[in-house]
Parts: sequence; C-alpha cells; structure tokens
Amino acid sequence: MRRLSLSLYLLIALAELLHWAIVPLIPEYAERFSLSDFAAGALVASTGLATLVISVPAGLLADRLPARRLTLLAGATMATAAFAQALAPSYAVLLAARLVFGLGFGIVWTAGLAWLSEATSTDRPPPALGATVTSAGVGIVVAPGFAGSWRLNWGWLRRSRSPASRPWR
Amino acid sequence: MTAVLATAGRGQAAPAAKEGLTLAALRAAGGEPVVRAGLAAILIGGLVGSTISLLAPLELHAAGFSEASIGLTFSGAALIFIVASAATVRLGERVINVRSVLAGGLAFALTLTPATLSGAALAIIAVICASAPLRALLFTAAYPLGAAHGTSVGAAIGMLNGAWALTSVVGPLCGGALAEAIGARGAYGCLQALSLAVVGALWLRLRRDVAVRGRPALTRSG
Repeated sequence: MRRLSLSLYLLIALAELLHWAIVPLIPEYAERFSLSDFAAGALVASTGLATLVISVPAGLLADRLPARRLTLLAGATMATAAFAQALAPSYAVLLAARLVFGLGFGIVWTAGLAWLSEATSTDRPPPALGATVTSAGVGIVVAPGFAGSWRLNWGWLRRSRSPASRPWR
Repeated sequence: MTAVLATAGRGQAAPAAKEGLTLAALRAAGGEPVVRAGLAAILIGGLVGSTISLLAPLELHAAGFSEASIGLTFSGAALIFIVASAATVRLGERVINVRSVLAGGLAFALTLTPATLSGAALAIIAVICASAPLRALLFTAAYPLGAAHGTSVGAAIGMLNGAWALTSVVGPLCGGALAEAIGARGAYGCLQALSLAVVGALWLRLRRDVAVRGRPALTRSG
C-alpha cells in the first residue's frame, strides 16, 4: 500500500513536471518553429483540453476495468509522448505529442486516484488521495527551474533545425 | 516510474464491473453531497486560481515588477500551497470534510477583497499569498471527498478532473475578457461574487439534503 502510494505520488509529480516544463521552453519553441502567439498558446492549452476530454470517460472506464491497468497504460503513453516532444521535428508533431501527453495525463489523474482509492481498505475517505495534490504541487514548483536548467546545460535532444519545420501562423 | 508502478499494488483485486456505465453512474456520483462539495471546491479553486495566474502577473508587470520578482512571488505562493496541502493531509478528516469546504470556500472568496478594492501591487501580492493556503485546502479536500462516494469512485474523480480541466481553460479566457471589458478590479469582483454564489448554492443544497436524509456521511457505505 505504501509502495503504491509513493509510486503514484511520484508519477503524478513527474506528470505535472512534464506538463509545466514547457513554460520556460515556449520562447525557444516559438523561435524554432516560427510560432505565432496563438500557436504557442495552443501548445500550453492542448494538455488541458485533452484532459478535459478524457477525464470523465477515463473515470467511467476505471469503474469498469482494472484502474491499475489503465494507469500503467497512461504512464507509458505519457513517457512515449514526452520523448516525442523532445524529438519533434515540426510544430504539428509537437502539438500532437502534447495532446497525446494530455490524454495520458488525464487518465493518470483519474484512474491513478481511483486505483489508490480502491487500494485503501478503510471505510473513510482516504486522506492519501489529498497527498496527490501535494505531490503535484512539488512537480509544478520544480518544473520551470528543471526545464530551464536542462535547456541551459544540455540543450535540446535534437539541436538541428529540421527542414520540415515551417512557420505556423 | 511506470515500470515501478507495474510491480506495486499487484495484490489489489480488480474492481467488479458495475452497472450503469455512463450517465447513470455520473448522475449517481454527482448526486452525492460529498461529491458536490468536492466539485464546488475544484470549481472555486480552479476558476479563481487560473484567473489570478493570468491577471496578477499583468498587473504586477504594469506596476513595474520584473519577470524575476513576479516569478518569485508565485514561487513563494506555490511553496505556501505545498505546505498547506501537506498540513491538510496530515490533519485528515478534521479538515477534509464538507464543512471545511464551505468555510474554506467562503474565506477563499474573501481573500480576493484587496484586489477588488485596490489595484495596488501590495493588494495583488496579498491576494496571491493569502489565497494559496485556502486553494490548497480546497483542492486537497476535493479528491478524498469525491472518493468517499463508494459506488462510482472513478466517475466521481473523473468529474472532479473534468471540472479542474474546464476551469483551467475557461478561467483565463473569461478572466481576460472580463478584465478587458470592466477592468481587473471588476474581474476580481465578479470572481468573488461567483465564488460566494457557489458556496451559497452548496450550503443551501446541503441544508436541503440534511433535511431530507440526514447529515452527509463521509463513510463510503454512507
């Protein structure tokens, strides 16, 4: 139970870190892909939109299917989408990766919490669920500094400007 | 991280498939007083929080604050949020209950008063810092309250997350539109009125529920 809680808290902190890490990278992406303000804003909003779309269906599925399986699938989806964001050669791929990441993010937040709730054997509302908000807060605080430092010290995984990139207005 | 999770909680039994997969499950979850309290907490915290995140930096920037000092202010507020959230978890059911959501929502609405009355930088900073612990209380209490509804926990948590995502999209858009139309102080005033209306509606609904079926139970079987 303790191992499950800690693992889920870490996963949620990582999910929030990945979600918010884009903020200090936006100017770099805007320059790299010649983005308008709207296109840059869409990158930030896409995760929230995907989460909005997936949350209720994910919750209903978590009541029907094993929440554990859904959470693991969503975690793998988020990891894959994170790599896709790092390697994205164009704005379209980057936006698609953010959307897919948002789907995984929404499922982790829903099925993960349902899993944690199922795992608590008490008859009371588990305060352990509240701790997911605390761990999310840690991810949010760390994200901008982490992403900025990573960019400063190690740069992009893919440095060269791809010929596929073109202005998006 | 996912690989570690795959080895955790293996012994947990898969939930039995439940009746009423779609609307019925949502209606059942949304009809529970504790879930409604959780939803109200997320709506107030999400709407106000996301709007402050848009308006406050603009106002502080207009008052001559540098990007670094604005970032520092929000980092400070985020730290307050984390500490308050951890304290809420620590206190458990003493604060994770419907009454705390009502009191916290009311206090949260009142913390917007300095920004409604004054556009001074100090008033904005006071709002950012004072609202952080109450937002932490509302968000941290919302999920355990949602899970207190026993029959469709996934549906209830899905509704809470959907509400949060909705406020994160709608909040900045409406906040920005309101600030353009009636100014930032007016936008804060509208947020304050909206928060008070949500708290008032929740209180009235709970009173009706108490009259009909007794106090809202926090137990899953209740």
